[in-house]
Amino acid sequence: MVSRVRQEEARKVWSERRIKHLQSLAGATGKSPAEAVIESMGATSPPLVEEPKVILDYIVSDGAQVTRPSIDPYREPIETHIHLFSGKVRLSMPFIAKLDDLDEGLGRAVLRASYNLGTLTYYRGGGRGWLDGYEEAVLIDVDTASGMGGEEARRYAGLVVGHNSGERIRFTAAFGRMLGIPVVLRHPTSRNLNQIIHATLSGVSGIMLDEDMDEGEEDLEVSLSEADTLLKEKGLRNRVSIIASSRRVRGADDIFKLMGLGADAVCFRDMVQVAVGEGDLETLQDRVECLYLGLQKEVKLLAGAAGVSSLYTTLIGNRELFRAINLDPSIRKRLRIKPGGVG
Amino acid sequence: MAQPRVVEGYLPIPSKAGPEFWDRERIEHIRSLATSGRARRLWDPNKGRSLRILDHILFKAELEGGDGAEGEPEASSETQIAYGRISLSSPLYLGDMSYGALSGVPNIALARAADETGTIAGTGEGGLHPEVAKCRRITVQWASARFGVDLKVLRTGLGIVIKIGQGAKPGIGGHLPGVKVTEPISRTRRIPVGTDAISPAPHHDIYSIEDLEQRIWALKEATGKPVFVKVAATNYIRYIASGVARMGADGIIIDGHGAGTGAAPQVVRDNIGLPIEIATPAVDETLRREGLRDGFSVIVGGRVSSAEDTAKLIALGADAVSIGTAALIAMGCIMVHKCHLGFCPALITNKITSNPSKVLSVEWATKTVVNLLRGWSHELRLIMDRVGVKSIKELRGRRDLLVADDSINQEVLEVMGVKRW
Repeated sequence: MVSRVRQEEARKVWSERRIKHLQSLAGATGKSPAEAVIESMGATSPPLVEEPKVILDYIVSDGAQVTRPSIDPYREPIETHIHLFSGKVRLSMPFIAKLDDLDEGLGRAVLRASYNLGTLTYYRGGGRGWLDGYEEAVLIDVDTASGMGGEEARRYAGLVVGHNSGERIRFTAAFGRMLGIPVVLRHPTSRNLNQIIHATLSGVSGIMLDEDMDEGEEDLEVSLSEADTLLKEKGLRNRVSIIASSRRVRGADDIFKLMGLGADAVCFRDMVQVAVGEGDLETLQDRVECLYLGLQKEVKLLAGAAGVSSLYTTLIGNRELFRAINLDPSIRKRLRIKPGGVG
Repeated sequence: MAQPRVVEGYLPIPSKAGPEFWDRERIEHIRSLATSGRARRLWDPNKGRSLRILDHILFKAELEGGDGAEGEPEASSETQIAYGRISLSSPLYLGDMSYGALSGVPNIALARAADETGTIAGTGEGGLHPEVAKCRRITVQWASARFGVDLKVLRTGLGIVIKIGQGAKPGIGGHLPGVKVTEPISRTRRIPVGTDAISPAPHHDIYSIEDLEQRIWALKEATGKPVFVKVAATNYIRYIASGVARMGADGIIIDGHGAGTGAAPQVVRDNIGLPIEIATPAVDETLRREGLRDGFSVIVGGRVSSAEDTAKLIALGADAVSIGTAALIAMGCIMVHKCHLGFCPALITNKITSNPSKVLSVEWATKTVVNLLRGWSHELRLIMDRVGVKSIKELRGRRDLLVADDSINQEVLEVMGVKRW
């Protein structure tokens, strides 16, 4: 069954099927950039043909029929925008791109595309000069923001603080509150999620559950679902936004499923790199924009098929849309989704 | 104008280009049935390699040993559907594949094969090819775009199928890419050449179970024919089936995850819907519990690849199975997954033009499907002999004849009503 997807194993999730799909969306191959990929004959996907690699591979979504009509994704509006941090930030699509150690050309392309399309990036690298003019599309790590004054800080979408020091979290939260800047706690996918509760009570606006942090012990799916559940139990879920983050997020289906397990937005990285290939800044930016618009169309297809007209109001944490196919029952129970065939 | 070259025979099976359910072994078995018209085996020797759940459910009889597909079986594969109004020589329904998705000759071959073997063929969305309309044992489809539908068409076959959903794209409508909307298709579907024919996701006159009842009875009033409702296997399939039965339909056609398609968004095809081996027993159990099972037909499809699959799905609660991809393979499909582009190497799903250079032989294609159905039925009857049942009715719902191996978890087995070996 599924074991935790460590970073060193992450490469295995990029099947040929996945790579071709992303390249087609981005227009790096084929003739239909920014369009949902069309295929024919029966599925070859996991878990029943291709070997499942992550928990998401065992989850299927619903198609609405008869008693609950689907929404036509080609003809009827389906809203993909979401609000983060108690409405302080609005994303046109629930996408956040991690800029960490992307090479400079691609980093700039992703930043500009995100700015143009109304999505966000997350940056924790060295040097922030290259972000000039695009700050409102950036969640910036406090390590990168060191020495930054209040006026400059206000230009960013938010500050991201690590989980190691409770005092630092409280300080950053207070600083953010004073300046009116959202503060996001970046937290590993650990078993113990108590710190999320403390941080929420300290006034952070968001929790980024990041599977790529070394201290992670759990699969993102499990950690995310339990964080969402725990915050709901404590009556705190509406105070914070949850961002699910991993380099192994592979496409619209992963994003859709992570939102259904409780994420307000999904942060990814390798997907963009896999999709766009090589090129000058303009080419890369075009491809990132096409990739995002294509992913948006595919998310709309999944939503419309399930009878969901708005991701923000109807998808987030809506586990009832999903069923598990032969997934280890102990994991399934932690995700709080039903087995396939159970009504 | 030059006459097109009439083509028959099989192309070499391409070497494996990634994970595939319809692998070389399955294609070769189908071809051998389609060539001989006789049983070739009882049990699939390769199923352990597959990840499909149904391949890890076995008849106890197989474990008791012995193969051998010899001799004339005693069991009968004859059965009836739609409250006894339609008799079948074998519980086989040739899946609803449209004129346009298929290139004409395969549509004719499927319909003629159904007539010749006493089975039944669905014709899909998009109107009838004139040669198909001459066949008797067909159903006609009432789908969300109403392509090609008029009273004459609705009265043509043995029954009508209200198509709500399909396994390859639950929740969204049919999709015929613009490259395949040529002059002849433009005429039957009454849409401009070169435009995508994307059917509405829902029927805009069916937004509730009450609406569905009105449509079912309107179609019955207009035609006097049995009405089936086709849906995909999805989360609430138990209740959908119950509603369809209560609203007066004669049967439900349930299409599972993995079913074939001429074109579908990959993200939808790969991520939505349940496997048919989970949906079938769940539906059967709910219909029985609610006293709705007798006479109402449950026809199931999606990766039905053999007589063994057929027998298992009937033992899990189906009345009949729908065969789509396997029938195309009998006619030469080699699973290149490019139907949507209109350049099928096997001439099955290529675009329809007024002056093609090559066409599939309709006689050969019909013969292969007839042989497939005969060989398939022969294997089915041998399996029935081996598991100790004499009729399809005796086999239906006999979960006790099945066991699962340990790759299927207990929760799944509880839904299916199958015990572990």
